[in-house]
Amino acid sequence: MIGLRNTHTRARAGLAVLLLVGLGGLLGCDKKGGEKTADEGSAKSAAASQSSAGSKAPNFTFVVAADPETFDTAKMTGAPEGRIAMQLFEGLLVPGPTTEGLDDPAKLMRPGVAKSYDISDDGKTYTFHLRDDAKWSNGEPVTSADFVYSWKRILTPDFPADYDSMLFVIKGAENYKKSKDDAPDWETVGIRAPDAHTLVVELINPTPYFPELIAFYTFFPVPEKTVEEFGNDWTRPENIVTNGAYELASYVDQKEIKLKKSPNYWDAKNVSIEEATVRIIPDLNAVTNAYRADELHWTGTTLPVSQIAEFITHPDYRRDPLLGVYYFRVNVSNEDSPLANADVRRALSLATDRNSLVEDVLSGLYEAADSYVPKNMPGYESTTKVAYDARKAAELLKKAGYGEGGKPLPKLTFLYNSDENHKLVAESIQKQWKSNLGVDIELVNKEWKIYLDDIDNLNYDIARAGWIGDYNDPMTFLGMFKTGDGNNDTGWSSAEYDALLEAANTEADQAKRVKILQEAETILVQDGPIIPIYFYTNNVLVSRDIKGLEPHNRDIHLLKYMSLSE
Amino acid sequence: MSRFIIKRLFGSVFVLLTIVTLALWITRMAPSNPCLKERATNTCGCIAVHKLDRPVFPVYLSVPLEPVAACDAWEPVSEFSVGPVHILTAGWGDTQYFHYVDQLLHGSLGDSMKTDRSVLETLSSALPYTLQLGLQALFVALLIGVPAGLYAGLRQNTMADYSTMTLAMVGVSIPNFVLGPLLIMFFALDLGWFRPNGWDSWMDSVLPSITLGLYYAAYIARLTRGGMLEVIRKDFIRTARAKGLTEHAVVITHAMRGAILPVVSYMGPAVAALLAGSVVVEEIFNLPGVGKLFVRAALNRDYNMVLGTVILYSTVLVFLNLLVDILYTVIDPRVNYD
Repeated sequence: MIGLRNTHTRARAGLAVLLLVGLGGLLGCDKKGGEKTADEGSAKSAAASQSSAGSKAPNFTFVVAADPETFDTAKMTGAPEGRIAMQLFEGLLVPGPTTEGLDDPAKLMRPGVAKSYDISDDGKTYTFHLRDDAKWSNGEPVTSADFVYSWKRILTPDFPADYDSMLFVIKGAENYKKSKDDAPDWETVGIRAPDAHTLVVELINPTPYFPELIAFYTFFPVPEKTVEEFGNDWTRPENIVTNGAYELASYVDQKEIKLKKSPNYWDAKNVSIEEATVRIIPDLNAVTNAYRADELHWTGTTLPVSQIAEFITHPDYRRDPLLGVYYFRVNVSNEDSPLANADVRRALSLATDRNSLVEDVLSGLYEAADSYVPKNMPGYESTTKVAYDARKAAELLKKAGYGEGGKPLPKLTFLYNSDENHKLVAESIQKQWKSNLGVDIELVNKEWKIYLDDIDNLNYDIARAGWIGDYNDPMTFLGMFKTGDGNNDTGWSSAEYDALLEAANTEADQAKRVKILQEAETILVQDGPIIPIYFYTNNVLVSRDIKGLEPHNRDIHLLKYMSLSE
Repeated sequence: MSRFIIKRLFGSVFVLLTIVTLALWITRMAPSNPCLKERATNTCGCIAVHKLDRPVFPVYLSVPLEPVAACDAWEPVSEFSVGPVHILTAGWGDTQYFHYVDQLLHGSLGDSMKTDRSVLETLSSALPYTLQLGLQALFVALLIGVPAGLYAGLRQNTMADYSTMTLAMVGVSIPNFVLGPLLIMFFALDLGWFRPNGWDSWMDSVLPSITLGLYYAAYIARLTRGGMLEVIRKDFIRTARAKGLTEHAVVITHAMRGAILPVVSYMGPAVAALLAGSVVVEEIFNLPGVGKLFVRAALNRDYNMVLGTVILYSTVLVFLNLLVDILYTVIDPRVNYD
């Protein structure tokens, strides 16, 4: 401790403290006068059901779970980015407001920048007719040259586009991207713009889901002039030029994104919501708290059991379909492991009581899986069903030489990323397999990035996994288990399966194609490296003041379809 | 004095460089890497852009990161074995360490490996929130801690003293991850006086500041009480009383100044701890500050962002320590660094 000797220095020390505190006050004043979202003093009970959700928000407010990594549609990969991109930009086609009641995937798409399109008889050439009144937010017209520029940009060999493979359905695209030439020949790529309002795309195979791909953000146009002028900075709010229903008004890191209606959008007269606030809230507890405090119109992301359980009777609670499956990956790459034996894998699958898991452990929030491709896939129905049959499971295990009378099954590890929901599932399955098959499972939970690393390096026995479809075709689920696919991550390989997928790719007749895909799914479910557990549902809270936020199985929601009642 | 300051500034640069070296090594030691995503993506491109396939230091033991077989592996300059240890070497200019320090010397903290924004830009957007939160928490701590300490100190061994100090003990013992959610439950959700999270107006900073400041309030109360007990028995206080001053005047003009001395010397470490300690509070209240940024960056393996935050925190700490040392000479003439 230091003694003070004279009052002069004491006064100075005191002043320093005062200054420090004063500075805090100043900073406080500095940020005052934002929006008036905190209507203090209006005491109200926790029963949010009494009042209207979002009533304290100044405009339409919803949540994304993380900061967008980028606003550049060519580089993005994640859900938060996609949700924002869908409002800011528009592809040749746009997803409709809902997938409910649709049995034909072709009907999902609506005209966007293209007012119509033709498909050649062999299904391989798409000709898009662009509308004359499509404009960028700076008033310049959107032309077919914009699309050629944007797609060529992604396919430029050293351009860091994470989803470049989305474009590989186009003739010559993959070769161009992987070319080691300094100046690869663009003429070899099947993308042509004969005039400003026509775009011709040649595909390798008849790809029935191409219209849906076209509406995916990787295929969105980017503004050539702005990109060339500002380089990587073109996505900053002060520089960015967009062609969708909304413009990027502002973005504050970790806090919020503001969107405002674009007056130059071709369909602006039908866009009702003028402004929207997108809050960035990673913690799901904070999301439900904000919803309870009437600050949100829509929770945006699906909420897990721990967060949603107390909202199940809330009138704003909705359980929408989601084109996704929760399943277990089984590592088959280690030949000494019992898991290399398909009978053991099937035994584990048969010993899994999915209904009891979903009903008793997961509060009935999801739908027990009876196959791998989700039920709500329009125009497709799985022909192979997985079922719970403990006796058959034990028999299969015995047939494989394990269990009673055979070798004891060695202890297996079950890997999941640290999360409340995954823990519930893992513990329940551990019990089921122990009682049904006598198998000892060791649960291992790891932080997300390490979990990914382990999956990538096949450093696991059995691991939880989830897959949300990229388009409404079974290929988005089945394609990943092709030999050597980057998303396979199980070491599984089947020549028969690969051949079926290849046959499906080249088959122009959709009915025949579906049959082939059903066969492939049968192989995958019977012998494959997967154990389907449940089909995801989208558990969200949506204010009843919002009209036009319809259930969509890929969780795509365009603000331009929505309106806010007063 | 100026010689001392210059010497210390040079020392600080050395300290910071050591911290950067260690932190860089630790980030690279952590399993997984920034380029790994749930879905197969252009991983090789990402690795090449951030030079993650390069060795971290010129002499290294294991091969650099090669998560995908399709990526071009980095070739070492030479390899040799010492007993069971296999050692590889690379040119200085090729290492990730050289690249990073070179970047620092050019005044850049680099770009985030997760987002397409620069580290400096992201940090400067987050820093004002953390500063404001820390300083307001300090204000809360002083506003509660000093009067409570004085009150207890002047009534030693009475009921008032015991109850105040018990409260202070409770305050020190409640972790902020318990206090924060409790405050949200009562004051935001039940009473509706505040927002449960977010930061748009000054009102939104009240609950986080209390959550962060209460621990320090309790600590400061104990310090002030101790200071008061020491001072109140001093001769000059007895003299003041003998002169016939009122008790009020004795306490306010004579005793208090001495009593808060320990608090003043605690300010340096307290400010540093408040700035670095806001990690949990920022998470609970979803504040767009540096603490939350740091946690996200670490979980995402955003090496550049982690290092940028570490450099920011350590610079603040080094600077505050220097400031405290200089202040000592101002406060106490017996301290002389020359």
